[in-house]
Amino acid sequence: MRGLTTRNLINVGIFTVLYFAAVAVFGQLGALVPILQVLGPLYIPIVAGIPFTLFLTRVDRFGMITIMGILVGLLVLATGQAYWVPLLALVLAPAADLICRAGEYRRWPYLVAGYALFSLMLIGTVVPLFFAREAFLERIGQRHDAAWVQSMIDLTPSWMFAVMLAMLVVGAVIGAQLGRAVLRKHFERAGIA
Amino acid sequence: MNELFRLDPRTTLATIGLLNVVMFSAGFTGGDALARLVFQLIPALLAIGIGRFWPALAYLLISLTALAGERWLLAGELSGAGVALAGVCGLIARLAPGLFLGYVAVVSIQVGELMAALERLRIPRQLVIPAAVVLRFIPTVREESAAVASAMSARGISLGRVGPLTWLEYRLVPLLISTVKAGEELTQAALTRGLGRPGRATRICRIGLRVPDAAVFALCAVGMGFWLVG
Repeated sequence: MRGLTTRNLINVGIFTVLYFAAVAVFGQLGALVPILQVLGPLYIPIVAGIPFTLFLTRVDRFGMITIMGILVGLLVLATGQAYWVPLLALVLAPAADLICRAGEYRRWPYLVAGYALFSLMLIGTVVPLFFAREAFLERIGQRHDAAWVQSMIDLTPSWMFAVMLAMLVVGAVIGAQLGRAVLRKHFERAGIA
Repeated sequence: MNELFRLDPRTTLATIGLLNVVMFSAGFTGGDALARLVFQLIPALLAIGIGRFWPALAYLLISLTALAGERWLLAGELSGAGVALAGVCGLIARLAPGLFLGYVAVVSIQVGELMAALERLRIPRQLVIPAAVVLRFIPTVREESAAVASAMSARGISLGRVGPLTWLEYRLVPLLISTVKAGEELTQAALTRGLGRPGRATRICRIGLRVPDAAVFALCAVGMGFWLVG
């Protein structure tokens, strides 16, 4: 991390905001409609894939993805989500960073794998739903009506946790492809990729 | 907008942490309810401190109405619509304090102050610079995003008309391009002014814990006390 220049660090800050904006804006939809809460792990990494792929064009050394993960975790914490996301970020973001480094921050399959691993931290927002179900639904039940709670229970049997992890990975792979398509169609032409 | 008092950024950050802990972990009866009420009031106080009276008033009106409404609805006979309304009230009452405090932090903390405060906390440069950029760019991204949205509606482009994928493209691509360009200019400006030079930078802004900070901490302590006791 010592080798990071000021330019690198400023880029990390900018793309943290963009990534977080994509996650937060589209993640909030799930608070209103239960089915979107359940589909969130699929479509959120798809949307966030666009800023993340553009970010990767600026990453050339270890540390940038790690710092971004930590900052995203802190932002999630500050906007009143669970503390699982920052905890997971401490492990997953450096791991994603290492994978991307193994691909020299250029080779596409490594970048996709790195993004998939990075996206897994978003599971932190639903961890309480599975591992502290009673307490979580009691708390959530205070802010939602009974029908919402019941449909959450119906939609989330325990095996759903594994499905959500799989959805995050699939969503991340699709998101990375979408990001690359947008990169080629727009950002390279605009001279910022 | 006249400031009544100015807080050290560390005070604001600590308050954000404590408020979220309480909103997350506290129950809804006895001392816990009082703790919630105290922390419900703190963001309004901070907003008044930076001279944002109307936002503070609007926040208080909305969040306290929501809190009272939920209480009243859940105490009476429950119909289906009543439960739904209580749910909406509850959602607003729980989320509004954290979000409003976040807004207050973003508008009140200046970038230089944040950097000075984080440096004093011995946070490494690798986190201080990106954190300062995040603070600087949240309003930029919000403004750009609103501009893109209004440009789209001026051209009659809606989610229903173009489909989700195209809509996403129209919405995100200009936002990313303009933000990244602004970021490049910021980088040039920052480097010109010597950001990232080795050694410790001197700062013009003065930060430090003073009377208002002590008062806010005392109020937080009262809230935490209610929570721990009750």
